[in-house]
Amino acid sequence: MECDLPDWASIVRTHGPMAFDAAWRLLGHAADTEDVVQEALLEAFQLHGRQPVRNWGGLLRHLATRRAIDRLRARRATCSLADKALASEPAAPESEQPEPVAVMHELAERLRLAVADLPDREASVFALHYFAEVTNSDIAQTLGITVEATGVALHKARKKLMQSLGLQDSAPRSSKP
Amino acid sequence: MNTDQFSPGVSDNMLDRVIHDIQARPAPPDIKDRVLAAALAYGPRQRAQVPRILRRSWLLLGSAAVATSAACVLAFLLFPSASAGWTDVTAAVNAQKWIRATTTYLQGGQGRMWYSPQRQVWAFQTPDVLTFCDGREQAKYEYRKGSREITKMPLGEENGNRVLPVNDLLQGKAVLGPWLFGSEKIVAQQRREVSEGGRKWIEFQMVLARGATNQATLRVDPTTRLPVYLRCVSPTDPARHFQWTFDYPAEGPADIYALGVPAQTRIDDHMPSGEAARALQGIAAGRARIGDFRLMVAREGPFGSAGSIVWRKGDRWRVDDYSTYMRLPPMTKPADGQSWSDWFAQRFKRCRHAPWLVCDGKTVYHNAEIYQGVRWEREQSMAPQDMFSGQRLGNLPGAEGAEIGSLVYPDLTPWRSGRFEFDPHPPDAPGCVLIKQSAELSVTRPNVGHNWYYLDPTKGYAVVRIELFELPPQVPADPRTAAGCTSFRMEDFQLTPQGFWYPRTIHETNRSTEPAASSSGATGTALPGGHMMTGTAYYDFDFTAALPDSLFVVDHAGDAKK
Repeated sequence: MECDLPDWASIVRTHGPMAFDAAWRLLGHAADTEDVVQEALLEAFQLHGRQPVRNWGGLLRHLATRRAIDRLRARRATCSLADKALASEPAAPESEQPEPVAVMHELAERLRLAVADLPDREASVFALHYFAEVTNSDIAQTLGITVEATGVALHKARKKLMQSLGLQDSAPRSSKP
Repeated sequence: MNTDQFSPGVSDNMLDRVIHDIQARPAPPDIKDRVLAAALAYGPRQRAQVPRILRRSWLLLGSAAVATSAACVLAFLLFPSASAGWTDVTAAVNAQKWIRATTTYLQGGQGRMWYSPQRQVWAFQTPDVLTFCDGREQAKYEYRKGSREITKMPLGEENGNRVLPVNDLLQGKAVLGPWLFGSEKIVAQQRREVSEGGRKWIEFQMVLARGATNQATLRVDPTTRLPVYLRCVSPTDPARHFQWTFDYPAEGPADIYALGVPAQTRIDDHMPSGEAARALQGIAAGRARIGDFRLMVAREGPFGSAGSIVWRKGDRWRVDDYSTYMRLPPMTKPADGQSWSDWFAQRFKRCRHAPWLVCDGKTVYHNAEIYQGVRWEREQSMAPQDMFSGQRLGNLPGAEGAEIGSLVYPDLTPWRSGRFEFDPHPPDAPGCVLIKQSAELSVTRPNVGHNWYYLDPTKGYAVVRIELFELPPQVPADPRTAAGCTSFRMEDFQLTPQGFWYPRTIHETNRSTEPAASSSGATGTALPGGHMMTGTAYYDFDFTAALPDSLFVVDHAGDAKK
């Protein structure tokens, strides 16, 4: 049954760029982002004309982040960029700790892979909140959960990610040798 | 994000910082445009042709996509395709523990390069020089044959990209590029399949932006997707060529001693530490934060008035020139409340306009008929990344001061033959830190050139003042006693939403003890026994300006897109 729908072109123009950005932030890889966003847009196009959608922006971003998370999980199985040795190195005191751009890049990649390791709901909530910049109420509506559950999932995700990245303040710091 | 707003060591802030860093990196605009354009073209045909696997409720997409992705990956591994692309080669190379490339020089002797993506090591051996770059330490070790010591210095931005070519990796480009070619860019490439020796091979034919032997062929084994050799040839002299042959050992050099340096050789450590290291990193971070923009520049100096408009969108950029031979009214900055954009527009109305430089992301072109028309030619002396490399103190060829990023955030990484000093409390600049660089000058030997950079830690270590001068050796360095000195003063700093500090005004002063040459046409102020010339430049960034892709397109038929 065809519904009264917004124009497909306006959906793509209005919401497509943010969906692309969300996938790019999650994947950080041009070719993967292109694949994932194409799949997401095609999927949305299938829905367009089949069922009413209240929030196209939320839907597109959800589709893009879901597929991006799946791609991250698949990537992890074949080629991991995470350097486990770094995670166990003792951190230097703040006064002697430079912040090289390369370290930030590596942390970004490790964060991406750590997001892929989260349970589905926490991964989706985290990705939608931070990489797709969706509000908690829109996330709740998109995923069919309560706003409170969204907040809890986000909190849990942050805790686990900090642990994965070795950012937990759990041990005394010592100087680098 | 301003680094001064961040308190290192707090877990939550670090996570947020990493998130912010990811958010701040722009998506590749050409790919985004392509994907969205393809989606706009969807019609009933696409709706009918989608495989059944996709026709599920969107709430169940997650599990279905995982299964599909896993199946595709397995098929890829079990049944390698002959149609390997750059992405496949990148993935294959990145999965290796070590990559080694070997060549034999025409004049004799072997050259060898090592690269470990996981260990973040890049090493280079020639008969005379050994180099070991350690990405984890952010350090470069260098040893020259016969020397008594190894020099240890910061990695620097170019070598940092060699050991972790993150930007290339993130954009899906060949990870081999920075490792093999350093900062050189691949301008064009084609892929083909060849048969030789009863086997099929894949070859990527590349053109590099610069260099005499800039025609490169990379042969790849379609089964392993790993490079076999790289052959570089001169387009004009086929006898001028070299070849690197690849293999993939399980082990590689752990340090520079493993490359053959005598075990007792001591290390001369030039690594800045503490705030000096933070300053260098802050500078690099500041320049990386600039983002996409339209920049207007108006300059007034001893040779008249000029200006530029600079557009930047990711890897692409463009510089248009606005010059006049008329003597314009003295330049005074806009009054409080006056729009800077309007001020620039009024000033540029009195100037001649000409497109000057265009970079399409791969190649830089200059207008060979500037002020007569438009005819684009490849710029031989510039590569696309030069605009934001931190070199040249703000001066693009033919567009002085346009490259403000490298003026306010120059690459001050120490180098081997130069001297580096750090003063955390310069007495003549309270609140600033001072980096002093010096080196013997080849042109005016035995004089020593001194470059002093005053940085403001509260502005992300942006440069607020520069003194450039030279003195005879053994004379204490002081710009006030030098026969000549070029000074820059940055004023009226603005903070952009991206956390990038930039000055609206830069004053330049050139003082010399020699009289100004009357034929130069320059105006200046006579001093006792010398002269002084001054200049001022105003800058205005607009990070919301439209940046249509047509700005960065060069029509090889001869007309630039306007």
